Amino acid sequence: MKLHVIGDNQAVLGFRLVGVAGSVAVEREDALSALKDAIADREIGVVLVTEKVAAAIRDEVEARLYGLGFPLVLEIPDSSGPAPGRLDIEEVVRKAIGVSI
Amino acid sequence: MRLAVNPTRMELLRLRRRLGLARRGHKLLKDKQDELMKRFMGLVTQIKELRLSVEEELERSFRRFLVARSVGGGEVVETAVSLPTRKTSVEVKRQQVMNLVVPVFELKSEGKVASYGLATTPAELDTALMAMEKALGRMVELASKEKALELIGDEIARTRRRVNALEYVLIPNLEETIRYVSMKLSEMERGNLTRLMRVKDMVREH
Repeated sequence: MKLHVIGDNQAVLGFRLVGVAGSVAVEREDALSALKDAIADREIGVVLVTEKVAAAIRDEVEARLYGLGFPLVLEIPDSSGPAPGRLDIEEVVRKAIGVSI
Repeated sequence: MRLAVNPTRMELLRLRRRLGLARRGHKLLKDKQDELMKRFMGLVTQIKELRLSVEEELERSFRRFLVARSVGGGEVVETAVSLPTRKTSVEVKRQQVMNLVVPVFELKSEGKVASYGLATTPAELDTALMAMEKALGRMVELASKEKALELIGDEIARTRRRVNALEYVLIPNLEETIRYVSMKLSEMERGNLTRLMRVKDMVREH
């Protein structure tokens, strides 16, 4: 299985160097179609989405991020560093056991 | 709520057996829940740490790219990376956690890391590459851990529902029914006894 990255120019460039293919996306439409293509490709096992792009297609990513099935979607920070106020792991914990830690 | 059964000795025996089974099942499920919870919590702390380190490494790597670009010039870097020789793929393995099958991803890389001539490119590009490489492995690990967390979380919710159903519904119901049946049986026994005594009295009077 392959990895795939969706992000800005620099992120895609960086990942290409270590052998990960990617699609450059900035606008919502580009990101959506890129994500859809990545999901449709059965060869792709992990999709890395930079936070800026993920924010543009928040609803789609959310459904995938903690849903079941392939591919796995992982949000990563882009070149400007981690964005504040990202969906946190505590959210999952609270959903699963009903108490926050 | 009492179960709808006939108050007979047979039924009482059957109910007692069911209660024993329900209690055993409850204990097992509870143990399972505890164990799942333990793993869940372990995963949570692991993921937190992992995420922090991934973010840090990635940021460092991106920053180095930026430096490389400004030192060597955009076109030089673009050309250098335009023909990557490195191929990266992930391999999915399955790992069993209790009754769950959790996918575990393993990074497989082949080919040279540096696909460019060292002479014409800035050294920063090399360090950026190294950092990227390291971060990538962590990222894949993080993705599979997050997946595992989600799966285990779901299983915990499911198990908790079952444990609660047994603890608060089935077992109390069975206990109540058993009480009812045994009361009814002893009441019948007493009724029978007094009837016999009365009959005996009547017989003696004649």
